[in-house]
Amino acid sequence: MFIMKLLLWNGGKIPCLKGSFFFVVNALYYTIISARIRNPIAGDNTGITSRFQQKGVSEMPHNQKKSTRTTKDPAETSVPAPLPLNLSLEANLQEISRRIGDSSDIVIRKFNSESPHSLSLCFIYIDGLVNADAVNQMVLQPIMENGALNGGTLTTGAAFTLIKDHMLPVGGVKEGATLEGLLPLLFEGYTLILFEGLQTAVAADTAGWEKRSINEPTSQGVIRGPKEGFTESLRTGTSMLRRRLKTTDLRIEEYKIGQRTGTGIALVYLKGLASEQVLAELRRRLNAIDTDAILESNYIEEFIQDGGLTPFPTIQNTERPDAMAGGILEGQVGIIIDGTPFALLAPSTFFNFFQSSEDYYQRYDISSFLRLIRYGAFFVSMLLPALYIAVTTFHQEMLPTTLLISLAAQREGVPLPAFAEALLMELTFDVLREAGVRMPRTIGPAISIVGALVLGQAAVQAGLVSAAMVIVVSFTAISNFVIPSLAIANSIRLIRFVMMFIAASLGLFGIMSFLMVLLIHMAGLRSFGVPYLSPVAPMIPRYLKDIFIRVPLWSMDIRPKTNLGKETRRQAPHQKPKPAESANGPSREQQNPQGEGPA
Amino acid sequence: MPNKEQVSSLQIAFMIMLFEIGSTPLFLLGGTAKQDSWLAMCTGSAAGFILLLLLMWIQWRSPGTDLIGMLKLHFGKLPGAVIGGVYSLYFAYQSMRNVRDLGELTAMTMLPRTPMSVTMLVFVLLALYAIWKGAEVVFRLPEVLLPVMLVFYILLVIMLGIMGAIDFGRLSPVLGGGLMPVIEAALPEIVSFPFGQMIVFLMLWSLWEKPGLPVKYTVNAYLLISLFLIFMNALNVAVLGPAIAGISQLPFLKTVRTLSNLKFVERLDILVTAQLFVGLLIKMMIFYFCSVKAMAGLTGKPAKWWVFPVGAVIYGASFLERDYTQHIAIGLGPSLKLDPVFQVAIPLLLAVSIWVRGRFGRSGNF
Repeated sequence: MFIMKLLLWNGGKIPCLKGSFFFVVNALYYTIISARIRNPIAGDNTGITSRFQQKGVSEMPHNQKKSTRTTKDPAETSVPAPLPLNLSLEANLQEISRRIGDSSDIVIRKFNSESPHSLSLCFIYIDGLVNADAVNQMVLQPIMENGALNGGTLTTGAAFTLIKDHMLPVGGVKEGATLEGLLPLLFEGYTLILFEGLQTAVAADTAGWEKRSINEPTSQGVIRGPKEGFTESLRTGTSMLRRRLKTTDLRIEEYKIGQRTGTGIALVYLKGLASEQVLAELRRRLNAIDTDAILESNYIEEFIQDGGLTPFPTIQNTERPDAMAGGILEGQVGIIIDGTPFALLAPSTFFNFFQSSEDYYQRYDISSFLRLIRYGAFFVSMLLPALYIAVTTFHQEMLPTTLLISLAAQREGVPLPAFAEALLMELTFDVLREAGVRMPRTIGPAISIVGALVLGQAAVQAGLVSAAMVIVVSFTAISNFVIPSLAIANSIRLIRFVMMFIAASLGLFGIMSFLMVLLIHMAGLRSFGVPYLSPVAPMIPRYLKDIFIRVPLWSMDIRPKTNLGKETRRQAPHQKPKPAESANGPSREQQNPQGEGPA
Repeated sequence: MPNKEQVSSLQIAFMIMLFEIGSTPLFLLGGTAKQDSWLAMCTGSAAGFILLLLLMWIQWRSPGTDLIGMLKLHFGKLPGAVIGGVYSLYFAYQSMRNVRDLGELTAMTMLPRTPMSVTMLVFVLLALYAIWKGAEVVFRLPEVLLPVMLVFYILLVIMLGIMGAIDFGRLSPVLGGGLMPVIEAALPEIVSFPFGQMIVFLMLWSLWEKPGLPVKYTVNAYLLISLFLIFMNALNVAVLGPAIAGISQLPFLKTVRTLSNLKFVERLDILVTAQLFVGLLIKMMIFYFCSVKAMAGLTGKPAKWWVFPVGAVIYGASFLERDYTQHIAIGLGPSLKLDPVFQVAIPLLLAVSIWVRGRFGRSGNF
């Protein structure tokens, strides 16, 4: 990975100069091959293919590394060179069954015309991936019941044209000449129609499989706001965004990543708002992914996020289409991954993780208050156990005497030092939390009883831990759930332990030092070129309207986003509601000498 | 991604403010002027402002060049390099003083039983980490830290106000002893610490994203922070009275300790120490950074190459003084005598050289 970065940073010049001509040509060849492999429907979707190939060629130095790795991969070598279809239907079927085996879900239906001038067809589809009604009524029925085809009055070529152009009442009809082009379509729910004596086949889009219906998001609930969440289907996701962003600027770019999973990935952005630099970087990183499986959005996230060794997430994930539409409207790029309801938003700054879509669905005053609470909860969740350890171990003089005495009395019977006590309780809570996620729903109450009574109350009564520590741990845990993004809440779960350890060894000095380390680390972090702490550091004061507080919507005229120097107006200025002016009163234009009246 | 590390006007302004705050509010500067110490601060700040104008003029005439470049250009290659090397040592020395300040302070207020070598090591490593990450990161820190610090200071002041601890009557009689004690207290002590330390910005202004220097931001930041420091100075006297403020080792700590009557938090020492931790860290980091930058400029090696050696020197040097008394004695004695050479004399020479060269029409050279 390091070498790859190095190659890229060199701008591609040095490897080319150093490498021999042969090496360069070789790399170019492999680049195209690997691009085809990653994009199995290369033969049909010319738009995507050409983009892949162009990208592949222009990113040559990067792919040199990748392609050498590719050739060594046993999974790769088993992929045969593109094979044109045979003239013989039987041979084609044999080749297909050799490739995909005799899996039980593959349906092969043969059709022969009645007349001696025989027309021989074969339908292939995968049961479960296709809508059976669609296959029967739109593909099988029209063809099988057609008199011309049945009568055998047509040549095979004429039958092919008739079927392809006139007889398939489905939207997506494609044509393919190689198995490499056709088989991936089969896995997407197409029905293939192969002809005896022809080297081309028709593929009709009959996709239709069982999908989960649209439900309320489970991980990011709101009180007020849309209740629908993404589902596992990529197309459902893009349609939800289309419905929210009815503009010609909305762009959806699709990729196929993962040699074995062939997972569909869609980049969704608004042209003109999303930074071209970020887009180019995203495309480059997506194209650079060379793996055989993408099963969830985290696979993509880990492959493309900046700073591999950071505890902080630099890409947001969301289950809410409205949150994603909001992000896209701010110039972020959405990444929807087939097979998971969690979509990604990049670039993301630290402060994005504290914004909830509900902030904009509630009044600005309460939203601002809640947002400040979240920042507070962030620090509590990260620091509270550490502060408790530091104060009870090193800085007892900080506490008021009465509190100190009561704490000391509680801790009197506790056999463990504060650090061990805190560590024990924090780990216990993490165990409980994990148990809460994994356990079957029906035994939920049992766990809460064990958690609340046995590990809390009984532990205190038995003198294993002090009551104050239970309070500290509980409050820490609750605070952690206030943060709207699970990604950043999880990252501070780990930081908390480091913090506790440092507090136990260096007290408040250690806590301050470690906070400073985190600050320095975050100040150096970037998400797709955007500084992680922007717009606070580097500070852009007029962008601070939506960071710590949320100002009223009518005063957010400028898109408060550091999408690399792009600044656009969100709305017409001066939209603050005012009572209607009387004829004698000062006109709005006079109040605003800039002359930018309301739209 | 930017090719060169660049710093915005606002970042420079914030850095000036945080740098000037540093550990200044901790001490009662100009304590010899008794209740007029705030006037001494005013005088020092005014004199410092004149010095700042000189520095800004130098930078304005040599856009895009840092102190090392200027020295080499105006004093010749070898002498310039030697003076640059001495400057690098001077910065490292100033940095080391801050490290030691923090070590002593931590031992005094926070961790009496932890060896100073550990706390100082942590401190140096923190600065090292930031400098390793580069100027951009170093200059982003004040944008987060300065607002936090100011909020804490304001909180403290409000609490002092609510407690009724502030009595500005303690500042009278104004100029009771005449003008001379004020001026004697201000010159050269207050000029050299903290206001004269603006000399470091001759190393830093060249990082600005545009050629030249952000005059407006620099001046505003300087004036604002001068007002703040004068106010804090007056506050110390107004709470403690000139007698106690004058003799106490860390008067601000004492000021804050009067808050223990609040019955909410017994001692806010920690808050003060946190403030000073940040202030000292930034100050030390900047001196360290300038020292590294100077060495890098002198040797032509990348800055990262020098981060570790300079850090090791700073850390090692912080053990040279035997105890706090000696630390303070050196700080108020030899150190104070040396400061004007670096803060005033050499910049003046530079300015003369620039002026002479400009006069004889050789400005095309730079």
